[in-house]
Amino acid sequence: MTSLAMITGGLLMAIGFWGILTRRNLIRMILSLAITETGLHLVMIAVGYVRHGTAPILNEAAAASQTVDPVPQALVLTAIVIGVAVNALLLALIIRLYRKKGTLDVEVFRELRW
Amino acid sequence: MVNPVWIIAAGLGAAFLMPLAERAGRPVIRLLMSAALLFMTYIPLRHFIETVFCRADAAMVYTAGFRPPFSIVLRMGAAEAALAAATGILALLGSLYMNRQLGRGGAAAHSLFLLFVMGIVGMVMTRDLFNLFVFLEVVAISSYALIAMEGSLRSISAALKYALAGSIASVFLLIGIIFLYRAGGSLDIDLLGSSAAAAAAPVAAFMLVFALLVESKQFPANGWALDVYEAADPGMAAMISAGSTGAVLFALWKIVPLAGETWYGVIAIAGIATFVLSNLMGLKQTSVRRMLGYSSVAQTGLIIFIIGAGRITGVSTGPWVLILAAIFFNHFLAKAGLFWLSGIVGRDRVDEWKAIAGRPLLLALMGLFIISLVGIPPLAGFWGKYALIMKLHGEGAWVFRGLVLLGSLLEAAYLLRWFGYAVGGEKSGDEKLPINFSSILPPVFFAVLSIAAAWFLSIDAFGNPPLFMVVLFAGIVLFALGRLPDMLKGLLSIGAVGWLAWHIIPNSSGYPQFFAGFFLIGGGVILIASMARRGHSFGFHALVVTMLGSLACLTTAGGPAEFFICWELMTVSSYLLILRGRKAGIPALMYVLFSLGGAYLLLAGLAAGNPAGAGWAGFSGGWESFTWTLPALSLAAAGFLVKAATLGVHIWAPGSYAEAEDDASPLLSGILSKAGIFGLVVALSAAAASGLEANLLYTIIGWLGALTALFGALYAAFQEDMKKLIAWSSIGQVGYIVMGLAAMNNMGWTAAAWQTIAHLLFSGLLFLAIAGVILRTGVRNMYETGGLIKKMPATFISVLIGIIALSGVPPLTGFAAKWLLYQSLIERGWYLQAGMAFFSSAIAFLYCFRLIHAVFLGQLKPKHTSVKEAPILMLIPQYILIMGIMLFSTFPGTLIKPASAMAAKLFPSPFVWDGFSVSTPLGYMNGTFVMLLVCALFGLMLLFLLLWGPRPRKIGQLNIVFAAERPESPATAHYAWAFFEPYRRAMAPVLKPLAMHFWEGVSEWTLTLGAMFRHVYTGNAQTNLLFILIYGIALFFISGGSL
Repeated sequence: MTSLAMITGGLLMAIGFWGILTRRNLIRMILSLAITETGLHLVMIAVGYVRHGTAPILNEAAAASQTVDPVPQALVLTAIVIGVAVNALLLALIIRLYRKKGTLDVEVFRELRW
Repeated sequence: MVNPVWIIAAGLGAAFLMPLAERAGRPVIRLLMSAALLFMTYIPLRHFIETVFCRADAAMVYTAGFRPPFSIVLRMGAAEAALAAATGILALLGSLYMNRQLGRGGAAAHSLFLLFVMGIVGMVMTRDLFNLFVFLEVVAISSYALIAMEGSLRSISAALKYALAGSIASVFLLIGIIFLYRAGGSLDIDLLGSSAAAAAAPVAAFMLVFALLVESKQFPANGWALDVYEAADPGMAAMISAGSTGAVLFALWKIVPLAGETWYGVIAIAGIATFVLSNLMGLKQTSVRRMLGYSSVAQTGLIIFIIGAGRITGVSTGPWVLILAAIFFNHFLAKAGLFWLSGIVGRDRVDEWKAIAGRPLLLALMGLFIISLVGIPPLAGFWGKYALIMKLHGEGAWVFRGLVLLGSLLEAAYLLRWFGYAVGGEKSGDEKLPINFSSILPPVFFAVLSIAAAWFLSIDAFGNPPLFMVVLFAGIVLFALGRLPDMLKGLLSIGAVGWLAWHIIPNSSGYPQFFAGFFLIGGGVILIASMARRGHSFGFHALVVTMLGSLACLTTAGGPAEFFICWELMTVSSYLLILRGRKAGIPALMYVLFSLGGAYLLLAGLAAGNPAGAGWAGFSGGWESFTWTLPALSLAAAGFLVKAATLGVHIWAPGSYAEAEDDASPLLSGILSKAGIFGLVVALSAAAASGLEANLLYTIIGWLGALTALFGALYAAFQEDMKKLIAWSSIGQVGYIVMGLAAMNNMGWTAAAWQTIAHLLFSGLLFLAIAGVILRTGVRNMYETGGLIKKMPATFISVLIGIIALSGVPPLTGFAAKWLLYQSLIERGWYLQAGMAFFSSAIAFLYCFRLIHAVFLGQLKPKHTSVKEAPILMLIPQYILIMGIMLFSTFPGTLIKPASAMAAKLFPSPFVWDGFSVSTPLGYMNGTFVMLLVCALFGLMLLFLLLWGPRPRKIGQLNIVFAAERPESPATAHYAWAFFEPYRRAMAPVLKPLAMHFWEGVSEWTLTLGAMFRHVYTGNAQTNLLFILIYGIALFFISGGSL
């Protein structure tokens, strides 16, 4: 289960990177970025997973070794929030760029170079 | 002490209160932000004072009172406090500078700015990896928004590129963090470090380092960063370049020990590659902000290199931290200052910066920030760079030393070129620049901080204020008195030089005393001429005094560091002096680049001879611990030869001597060119005293001197411009001195000392006399003058004496110099070189004749009929120099005896004195007798002509029918044009300016290389991302990593 989640996560990240590097439409690039991040989140969750573990609530019923690690879960929550914020900002910037040039082609925005 | 967690609370709290505050009006937002920033600056400042001055321990904050791994730790030690406090000050000034821009953005912009600053401080303080990621994102997101806030297409697209690159870097950062957590069971940097988690998960450590290298904008994964620097508001660019980059670097510094030693070398290589290549690409920039971006990226690379190199040597504390701090804060102050200035001036092309010509405050700020980036003492960057070069020891260190120096030279090239544009422009005056209190205060404040740091570091290095600080202080005072009358400034500067002479000369002995007297007395005499100036002298005296003073300090320098500092001060002050000339932009740039190159060779030599690990603690170390090994001697000698304008590296000299202001030229050619000679004397005498075998090196130097003498004379003969003629002649004459020193025997060194003085006397005399001619006639080409003998008889006599002294015929000074030199060369067995020296002297007749013939004899030009004699204040120093020539010619013993005695400490003296007559193994000379004989013969001839010659008859200018010529007008033909054309044709094959072509080639290839590299920055956001991934793969393989 752990390795399945990890492999899936890795696969999703690879798909995301492929999309970021090959799609020329800016919105698709952002979507690919979101896919990468989803894959990353999956990997992070997998790191803390304990087979047949319980929820990380420490009481008499479950020993500490049998609970899943709560830290990666907390990290993922934070990472998701940050990811959402960055993606929202990126999309907002893209809207502004679209208003200026009427296109979403990443090739077009090359005023600054060298 | 206040708990540092309040910094974060204050930042966040105030940011969230902003929307509420907006209802109360704009001033309230402003007030809230300023209060929060002040509070956020006060806390770390307080901690800094406590930890550094009261030696308190670093403050540690544990969230909710738990210990790690169950909590997040914030640390506030000396380093954190310094960086956080500096960030706070930067933010206070930056918000003031961005007042208008932030105001337009309202509450949102103010919140973002606060979050940005809070995030930086958080990144600095936290010891928790994930917390680091969160703060990094806070900084990143707020900066994306602040960059885009400006609203232009450029800034939005730069923000987008930044955000895309930042997101990719974050992905890798998170992977690294989570797998390190898996391996080490903690997120605490210290716990992870001690649990060797990185060794268990090398790929995770790699991801972490890689992400931080991308965040710190390393080549080639930094296309987005350059776009950000170019397009963002300058206020924001300053915040990013100094503020957030500092936080990322600090984060890298924290995690490097965690990542393990595999990464030290990789980090060092990544850093140095960025440093050199970014500076190379910076050469091609014409946009000021992009150029500053390249420079920022390069400096970041240098800092990363130091982080890595410091770890490699196994020492991460003490001196390395100081080096790091010096270079970091130097860049922090200078780059923020330059970005702010770029916003004030508002011109984005480097050549448009002539808009600030004639604005002393802006120029002074710009100059200060640029020379601190270049690493000129006593500014902080110098101490860091010097200690760095000294500290790099061990196998292969010379490669890194070379690369650091190469990168620095490239950076100096484009920064100083830009400065040249700003200084050299014509005064425009009517340009409106948006200067107001809130925009000018930040750069002024940072300039003051830079100067304070310089003062503090100099005192710290030498115990008490060293002499060069006194000289600098005198220079600054004279600069501040720039509006006084010229006469008064001249007197003040002569007084300052006199005070130094009175202070230094009696307290030294041997060669240092000789050269101190030479620099100060010679300089003082030539300074008299500057009192004849009328206007346009603002800053001139300050620079001359600084130059002469640092030359004098050079002679008193007690150790390598002090010597080098004086050397650099002399270079900078003379560069600025040359830059004052009207068309001196390019020559001055050439001068300073060659000089800096020479200085860096010298520095490499000093590093080669210094004991391993000399550095921060060793600034005041003397020459005792220094050993003149062969590499040290060769490198240092190469550096000195550049300054002496030896053939091959001479190409800076003709232009600089010629294009400098007319009364500065004699100082440069007569005085400054001897700095290299003094350096050679110091190095060669120490090497000879230690018994170092370096005969091959001496032979090479001897040949270089001989060739310099020959080609200097040849080129001088074919000049049309009289200043260029003397300039080339000067180069050749210094070649004789080099030859004499290279002979490494008593007579050679005596000849060198003699020629040093003699050259000052006649080249100073000639340049001053010609300065008078140019002042009165307004032309520099010889064929545009003529027949000035009757208009300027006193000047004519000066030139006549000057050329006789120069050409080396009896009875004047040049004769004794050459007589000694030939003998020393023959004694050494260098017959061919002696022959060349003799031939060069013969050529000297050609150009000497031409100078006097073309300018003073022949037909007077009609427009010069009302020309007057040169001003008396210019004639006085000339006649003082003539008196010197006459004294030394008549009584050569006054100079040969002490000069030979100085050299006798190293080489036995071959001179035998009998009254006024001196004998050597090869012959004898009686200067007094020769002088009397020549005077007697001359007197007899004159008497004969007066008594028995035909009676002189006054005739009109055109009445030369006696010569069977009938010119129609005086301007018909002037034979001074292309005077030696037949000789030039005959000599053409050897006269090809090979050195010039070589250096042009070097420059072109460098630029082409820079142009090639920068094509990785296609401007496409996607290519940027691709390069980030390629960079990652490359790093992975460089580290020898394997999954």
